[in-house]
Order: sequence, then C-alpha cells, then structure tokens
Amino acid sequence: MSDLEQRPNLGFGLGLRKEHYENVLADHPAVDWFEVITENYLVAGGKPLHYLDRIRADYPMVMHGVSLCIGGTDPLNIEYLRQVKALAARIEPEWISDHLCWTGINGLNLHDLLPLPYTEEAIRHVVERVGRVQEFLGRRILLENVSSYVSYAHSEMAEWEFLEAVAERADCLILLDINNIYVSAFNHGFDPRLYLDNVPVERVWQFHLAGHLNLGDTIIDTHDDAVIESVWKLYEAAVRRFGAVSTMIERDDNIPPFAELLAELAMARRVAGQVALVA
Amino acid sequence: MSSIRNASQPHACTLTELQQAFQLALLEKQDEPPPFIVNAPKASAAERFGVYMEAYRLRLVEALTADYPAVNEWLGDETFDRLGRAYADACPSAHFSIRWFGSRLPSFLAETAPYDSQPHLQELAAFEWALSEAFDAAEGSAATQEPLAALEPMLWPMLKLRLHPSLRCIDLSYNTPGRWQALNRKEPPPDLETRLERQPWVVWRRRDLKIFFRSMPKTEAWSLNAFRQERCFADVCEGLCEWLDEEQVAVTAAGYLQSWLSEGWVVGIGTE
Repeated sequence: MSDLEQRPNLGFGLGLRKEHYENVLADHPAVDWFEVITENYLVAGGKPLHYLDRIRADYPMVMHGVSLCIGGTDPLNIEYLRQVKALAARIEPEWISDHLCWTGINGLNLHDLLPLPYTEEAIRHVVERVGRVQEFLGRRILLENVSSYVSYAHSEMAEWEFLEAVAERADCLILLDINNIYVSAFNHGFDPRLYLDNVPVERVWQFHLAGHLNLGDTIIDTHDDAVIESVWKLYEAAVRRFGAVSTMIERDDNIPPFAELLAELAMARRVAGQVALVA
Repeated sequence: MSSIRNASQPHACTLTELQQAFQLALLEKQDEPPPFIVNAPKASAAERFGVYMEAYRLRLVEALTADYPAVNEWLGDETFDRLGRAYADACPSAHFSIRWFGSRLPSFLAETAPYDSQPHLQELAAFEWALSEAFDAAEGSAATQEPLAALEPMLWPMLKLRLHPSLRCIDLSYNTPGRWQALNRKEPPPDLETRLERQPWVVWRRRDLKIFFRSMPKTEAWSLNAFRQERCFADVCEGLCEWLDEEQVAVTAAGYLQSWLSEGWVVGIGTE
C-alpha cells in the first residue's frame, strides 16, 4: 500500500492550548482532532496531564514536538526520546511530528527552530538521525518545514529539494506548514508555488496554517494572528495538489476565544470543500 | 534568490562549525552575524540574524513571566525584562523543555547585583518556583484515615509515611505568601515584614489540582521532614523531645499525622 493510500485524513483540527481546556471539556466543540505540543506534557503530573487525558478520551490527537533537534550535531537526546515514547504510549497519537531544523549545540537548548544549510552533508546527517529516531519510537515521524529569516552562503539546493531528499532517503513523512512556506518565500524571495509543486505528494500527511507578523522587509512567524488571505490562497493550491490532508490552525500567542478559532477552522473547511467540489 | 555577501569567499563550513558559530554569535550578541549568513533581497544579514537574537531572548523572558508573575508584577515589566535578559545570558537553558528554564532564577537573584541586596525578591521567586513545582509534580493517591485507625498500638513506633510528590517545604523570612497573593491579583502588596525567625511553610497540590500553602510550627515542619527522610514514628517522637515534653510527643506527632491525612499529604502508610 502506498503512503497515499495509508494516509489517514483526520479532518480539521486545532492546537490544544491551556486557555481552552475547560471550554473543550464543557462544550465538546466541533473540532475533528487536536494537536498537542509534546514538551508541554513531558511533566510528572498535575493539570497538564489531567486535561490531556480527559480531552484525549473525546478527540483524536497528534503530538507535535519542538525539541527533537533532528538537525543538531550533539548526540540525540535519548532521555527526551524515552519520554516522548512514554507520552505516545499514554495518549496513542495518530502520529508524532517535529521540525526539520536544529535547536542548539553543546548541551544548550535555544528553544528556537533554527534553519539548516541545504547541503548534502546536512541531508546525510539528518537522514541518519531520523532513522534512529524512527527505530526508537517504532513509527515513522513527520518533519515540518520551518519559517526562516536567514540563508547560508554554502547551501547547495533549494529548501524544497532539501526537504524532499530528507523525506525520501529517511523514509519519513512531511508536515507541510503552508504559512511557513509563505513566510520563507517572502523572506528569501522565492515563489511559494514552486515550493508546493516540488514537495512529494504522498509524503505529506498534515498541513499547518497560522498567522504571522509582516514588518515590511521581513515576515516573522508569530502564530499570534489570523491566517491572511494570501496564505488561504496558498492553502487552496496545496489542497489541489496534495488532496484531502489533515489540516490544523496553530495559535500560540494572543490566544482568542475558542469561537474565533472555530470560525477560522470553518474557513479551512470551506476552502478545502470548494477545491473538492471543483475536482 | 539571495545574494552572497562576499562571493569570493563562500564561507563553506561543516554543519558543526555552522552551529557553533551561529550559537556563539547569538548568545554573545555579536555585532556581526556569522560570515556564512547572506544578505536577503529585502534585509541585510545582520538585520535577519537580529531576528533570531531578539526572538531567543523574548521567548525566554516570556517563559519567566509565566513562572514568576508576582516577581514580574513587583518589578514592573521593564525591570523584569532586564532581569530576564540578564538571567538568560547567565543561565541559558539546557533542558529539552522550556518549563525548567526558570529553575535557577532564585539563586541568580541571591547572587547577582543589584538583586542580591533585596533578599525578599529572592524569597518571592523561590516561593513562586515552589508553587510551579507543586503544579505539575507527580500524582499521588491520598491515603485515608482507616489504615492508621486500624494500626495495632505495638506497630506505631515502626510507622513510616510516603508523602505526596507535590509537597514543597520552604522557610520564609518575610511575609512573602501574603505579598504573593496581592501581587498575583495585581494589587499593591502589604508592606514588607521581616520575621525574627524563619517561618516554615508548605506548598502542595490538592486532590482538585488547586495549589495550597500554609505555615507550620517548627515542630511540625521538622516532623514532616523526618518522615520524608523515611524516619519512623519512634524516631520522630524522639526528635521532638528537643522542643516538647516527653509525655506530649506521641500525641503531638499523631495529631500531625491526622491533619496531614486530611489534607491529602500522605499517600502511603507502612510499618517496614
């Protein structure tokens, strides 16, 4: 069976945020699934795990990490992976994702998603580590394209070529962040459609949508505002190319009332629905 | 596509060299970005690298704000931001979760000027950190009174306890809990009061997941700590003789046990 045939479609989801725990439990809103930030639940007990378990009982979930540091040159953090695996055993997520980036070196965590150089050396390095992570977790992972603000003189290829090479050679899946493509395209001056058209269809199992901050000469991936019109257009093109892919909206700051996020999710449903109708 | 700043020197480096140089420049706030970073169509390499330098510090200060809302309220946003940046420079995060980034703030405040001249600030931070530790400490199922009531009198001396993982004991020199409560409500705190003797306090998470705290007499704090160190009831009674008459100690210690049970602090009772 191909990756495309295996690909589950979870529908339209949201990021689970603590501000909405009570709301979700009380109202059981019409969200198909939730994405949780893995590290927020790598704790011993208390409210985070209490709410996680209760909400998991009602909704499918996926785990989304920020500290795997798959492109880092420090050794893989096995204790971190052990805790990720234990959390996955607890909540049985549909899948586990993290970012195609590095987050620190020399034992430090900069808590940021830092871009890798697009080189053959980096591909080999990441592919080897993805292999070990997937073996440890006993499942394939999804890697997400990050927003970036700098590029490196010695990069040998375009970002999408790098992403494709990693996914194909490591046999991992892709979480395609549509907003990140838009942000990086603006910051580095490439055509976002060209990016979309070069990502292998069968590897993409999830889409992210989010808002950002446009400073005029740079766009910052802030996740603190609504999705803008140009990103909706790019999402429409993505649905046309990749088909029915599980889609979620990320909001990490300036968290609005839940109803506002539901309205934004309804927009995602409409856009995807219109593409399906035309097809 | 991006233009290369200096095309004659492509600044090729290994992945490890890139990460070392990037991180060093970011942590040391170097004026010049690493040479392998190229100018973008709409912004210079320095401007773009500056996005990472600023985002790094903003994110860490934001994490501190979440862990130390009362310290933030007391200092005000501007001073707290300055403190957070100084702390981030001195104590960068080494944990996979940003949740633990703030763990060294109380000791940083105690050791670093100008904060070291305000010991009440260090105490407020230590109190807030104890609250945050109780918040997501491991679970523990509270024991009931029955096993204690059913205990044979001859077994009482061997009695040992397992205490709830969320319990945190902290000795305070000021009226910090009252000040914390006011600051947490964004109200002016009561004037600073210094205790003649440090007052033991305990912080814990109740069954309903709410965080509570209360003060304790020194004898109760000593007993609680002794049980935490796996001492038995007979040892605790012996130790209490330092403060109490011998006839009083067993009744006093048994009274502590009952109140701890009703507060959900005890998760296991044994006589091994």
